[in-house]
Amino acid sequence: MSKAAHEIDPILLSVFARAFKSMTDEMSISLQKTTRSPILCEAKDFVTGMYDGAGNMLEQTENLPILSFSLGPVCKYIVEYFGGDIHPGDVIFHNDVFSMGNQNNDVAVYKRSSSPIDWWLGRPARGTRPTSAGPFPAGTTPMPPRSGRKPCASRRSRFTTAAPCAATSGI
Amino acid sequence: MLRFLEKYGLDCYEAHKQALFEATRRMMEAEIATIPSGEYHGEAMVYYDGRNDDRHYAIRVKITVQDRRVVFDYSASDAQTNGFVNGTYTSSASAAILTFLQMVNPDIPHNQGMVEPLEIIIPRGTILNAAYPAATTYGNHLCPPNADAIIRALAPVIPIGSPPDGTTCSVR
Repeated sequence: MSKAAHEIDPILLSVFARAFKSMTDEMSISLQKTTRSPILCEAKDFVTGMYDGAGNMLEQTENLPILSFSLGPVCKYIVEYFGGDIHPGDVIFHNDVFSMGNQNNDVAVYKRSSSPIDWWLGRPARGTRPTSAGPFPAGTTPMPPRSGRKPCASRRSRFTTAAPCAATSGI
Repeated sequence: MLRFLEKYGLDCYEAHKQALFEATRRMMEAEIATIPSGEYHGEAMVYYDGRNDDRHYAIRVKITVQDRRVVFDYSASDAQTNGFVNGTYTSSASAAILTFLQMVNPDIPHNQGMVEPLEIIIPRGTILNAAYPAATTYGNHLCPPNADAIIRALAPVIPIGSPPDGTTCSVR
């Protein structure tokens, strides 16, 4: 059945909308419960969202309103920048303020879904740099690193050990 | 999500996704239709650029409401600073969308259809969209005065539900 001819079921439409919302909510809950940074788990300084293959926003969960609509422009930029050279499982890190980034301290993470069909799902999360690996001497670090301790020494960071603009692995 | 697609199929998903965008766009357009067509102007000041205590900068917005579309034009805003108080396009546009959404109806679903009737013009090189290599560390802190400018412009025609200052840091 073609897209145009597909009958729209109002109930199913609502199911889709609520499903999108549940997914972005669960992404936020997952990040909140796994991060070690109080900026994320207590201040909830991040937003999660889902985007289609063209970078169109399907839904988002804005934990801090100031970040509400800051992921969409970056997603469209990434889609345009890489063209068709994005593959299932690819992860993109982005914080360049001159290519639609929000601010340098905010690192957006996008993951292309692993769907076997021609459709992909972006899974971005935005937050300040210190996240899963504790304090770092960068960004709005909640506390300075202890004397003699190297940044990233205790655990590999999902965010800060990757290249600042793009990465294809690490999550 | 994959199980969801397996159950309903890609065509069904695509059709309902577009229908969702369309329904959401109509919701936003219906809210815009309640605002009298015309041009509305708002201004707010920024009192610190990160380096100079005595310099002030103006955020000026011209909001045009017509044909169920809204254009936010920041072309008359002051130029970027030589300090670290400069905005980025994404941060500034996000504040504009959020502020308007809070003023009209924050319960509209947040998807592509919601933002389609909105156009945001922020010339590069202005305080809300600084050009390379400007420092932008405090860009997010320009969101409240940005919201103030929008509220001052639209408050006469959207008097009920106007959020307080600092709307970008709180949800109504």
